[in-house]
Amino acid sequence: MTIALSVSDIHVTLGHNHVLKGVALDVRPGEFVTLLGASGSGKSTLLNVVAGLQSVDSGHVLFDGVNVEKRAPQKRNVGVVFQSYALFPHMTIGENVSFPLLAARRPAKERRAVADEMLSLVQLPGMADRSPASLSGGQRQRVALARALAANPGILLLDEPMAALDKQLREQMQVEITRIQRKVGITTVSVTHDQTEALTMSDRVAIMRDGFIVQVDTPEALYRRPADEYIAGFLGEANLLPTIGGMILDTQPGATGDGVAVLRPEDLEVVSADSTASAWSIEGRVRLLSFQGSRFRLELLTDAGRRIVCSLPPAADVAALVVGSRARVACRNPDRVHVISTGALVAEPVAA
Amino acid sequence: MSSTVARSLGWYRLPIIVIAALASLLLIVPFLILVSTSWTSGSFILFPPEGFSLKWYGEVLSDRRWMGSFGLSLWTSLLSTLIATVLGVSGAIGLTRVRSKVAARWIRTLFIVPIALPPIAYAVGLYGVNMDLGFLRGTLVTLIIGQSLIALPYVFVIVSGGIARIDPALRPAASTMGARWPLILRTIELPALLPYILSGTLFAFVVVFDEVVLAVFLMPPGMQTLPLRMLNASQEAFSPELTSASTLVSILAILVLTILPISNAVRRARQQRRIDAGAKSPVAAPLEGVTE
Repeated sequence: MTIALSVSDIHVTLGHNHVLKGVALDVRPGEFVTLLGASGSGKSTLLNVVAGLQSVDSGHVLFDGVNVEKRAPQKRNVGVVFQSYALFPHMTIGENVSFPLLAARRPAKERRAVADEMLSLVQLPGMADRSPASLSGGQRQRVALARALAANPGILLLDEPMAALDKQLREQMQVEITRIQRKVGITTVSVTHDQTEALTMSDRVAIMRDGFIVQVDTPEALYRRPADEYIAGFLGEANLLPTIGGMILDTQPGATGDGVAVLRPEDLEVVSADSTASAWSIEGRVRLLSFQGSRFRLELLTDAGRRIVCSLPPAADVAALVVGSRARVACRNPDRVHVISTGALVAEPVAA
Repeated sequence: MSSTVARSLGWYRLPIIVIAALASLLLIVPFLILVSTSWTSGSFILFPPEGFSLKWYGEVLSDRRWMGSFGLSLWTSLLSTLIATVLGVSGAIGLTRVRSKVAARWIRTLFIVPIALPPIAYAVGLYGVNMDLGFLRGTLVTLIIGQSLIALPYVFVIVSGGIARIDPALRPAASTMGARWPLILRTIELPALLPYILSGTLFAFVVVFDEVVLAVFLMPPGMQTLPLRMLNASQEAFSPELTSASTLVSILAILVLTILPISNAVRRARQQRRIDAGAKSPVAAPLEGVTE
C-alpha cells in the first residue's frame, strides 16, 4: 500500500533558526528520493516533518492527496529507520521487528509470523530470539529496516541510514536496501550527506541548501545539468569556467560573463595547441600529471590562474604533457557541456 | 580500562594504594570495633570486649520494644521508598517531555534540592503542619511525607542518569510505529530503565531507614522508629544492646545493597545466554551507583 507524498511550502522554525524556508517536493508512489545536503541544510528536519515528529509552522504534507500535517506520527503509517537504528535494547530481535504489530494489538501468533517473514526479507532468518546487542552494525541496520517495514507502511523514511557503518559495509548495504526497496515497491525518502550514496540509491535526488530544495532531478541530470555552481561543485568534480556568447573566456577571477560552463574532468581531452575549432577548449600550463590506475589525472593552470582538472583514459598519449609545458584541452562533444546562465547563481527554491 | 590506568601510573600507584588503604581502614575500623563491643559478655560497651557471647543479640531480638521499632521502621521506610520511587521515576521521565531547556534546568534543581537542605528544616516545617492540622496528630502521615521527600532525590538522580544513557530516538521510533505513550512507557521506557529504578529504590530505602532527625520531631508519643530508639538508648544507658542493634541494622543494609550486584549479574547472565556464539559487541551498560 505505497503512497504518493507531496509537501508544499513547508516552513519550520526551531528556536531562532528558520530551518525550512518554504520547501516543496513531490514523490511518486514507489519512488526512491534522496534528500542530499550539507549538515544544517534542513534535510533531517524535512524527514521529521514527513514522519510527524516535527510540527510545521505552515505548509502542507499530503499522503495520496490527504492532508496529514496535523496528524500524530502514530497515525501516519510511516516506517522510519533512524540513524542510531533505535532498536529496543531489552527486547529480542523478533520483538523489535513485530513491535508495530504489538502497537496495533495484533495477536502474538501473527506478530511472530510477520517477524519471521520480515527477517527473511532482510536475510536474517532465524535471528528472532537473539538480542540486539549480539548483532553487528550491518545486521542491526537490517533489523531496523525489517521493523520499519513490518506494519506495511505507506512510506519508508531513512535518516542517514549508512552513517554508522564503515565504508565497505556501506556500499554493500546501499545495494541491499535498494534491492529490498524495489522488491517491496515502497515510496522511500532517504536523507544523506554522502553524494555517492545519493547517486547510487535514488531514482531522484533533491539537493538541499540553507532550508531550500535547490534542485530535484535524476542523478544523471543533476550531474550533467546542475542548476548552479554550488550543485556542480557538490556532485563530483567540475571545472567551472566563465563564458560569453557560448565561448569559454579565461578572464580574471571576479570578472563575470553571461554564464558559467560546467566541464566534467572525464569529458575533456588533450587537443593540439593550434586547434581553435572547438569553442569548448582552454589552454594552460601542465601543473600535475599523475597515473591513478584506471585514469590519468591532469591538472592545468590557465593564464588567469584557474585550475583545470582532466581525467584522461589510460590509453591517452601523455608523453608530451611534461610539467610546465603548455597544453590545450577541449570537450569535443558539445552536448556534454552545460552552461549555467549567470542569473541562476543565486540559490532559489524550486518546485519539484 | 582500569588496568591501562594502573599501567600508565607506574610507581605513582604506590602512594595511591597506601592512601586508599588508610581511607578504607578509617571507614571500616570503627565499624569493626562497634561490632566487637556487641559480642561482650559484660554489661557495658567496652573495647576490647570482655569475653564473647551473643546474649545481647538475644536480648535485642527477644525485646518486643526493639522488634516493634524495627517493624515500624521497616513499613514506614518501605512506604516512603515506594512513594519516593513513584515520584522520582515520574519526575525523571516527565522531565524528558519538558521542551524548554530553562524550565527543565529549574525542575531538575528543585528535584535535587532536598539532598542539600538540612533534614531539620523539613522536620521543623512538617512539625508545624502536624501542630496546625489536628487530625494529623498521632498519625505517621507527616513522617512518611518527610521521608519520601528525603528519598526522592536519590531515585530521581539515578533514574535521570539512566535516561541519559538510553538512545533518545527510542521514543520517537516507537511513536512512528503506532505506539501511544502508555504503551511506550510500559513496554519501552520502564523496562529499559528498570535497573536504574531498582538501584534508586534500594538507595532510597537505605537512606530512609537510617533517618532519625525527622523521627525525633514527627513521631507520635509512644512510638519509636529503630534509629530513634537507638538514639534514645545511647542517651540513657550505654548498654551493648545498642551496638548489637546497630550491628543488626548494618547487616541488613549490607544485605539490601548486595541485592543490587546480584540481580545485576543475574540479568547479565540471562542476556549473555541470549547472545549466541557469534556475539561481537559487549553487553548492555552496567548499573549506575552502588556496584561501581
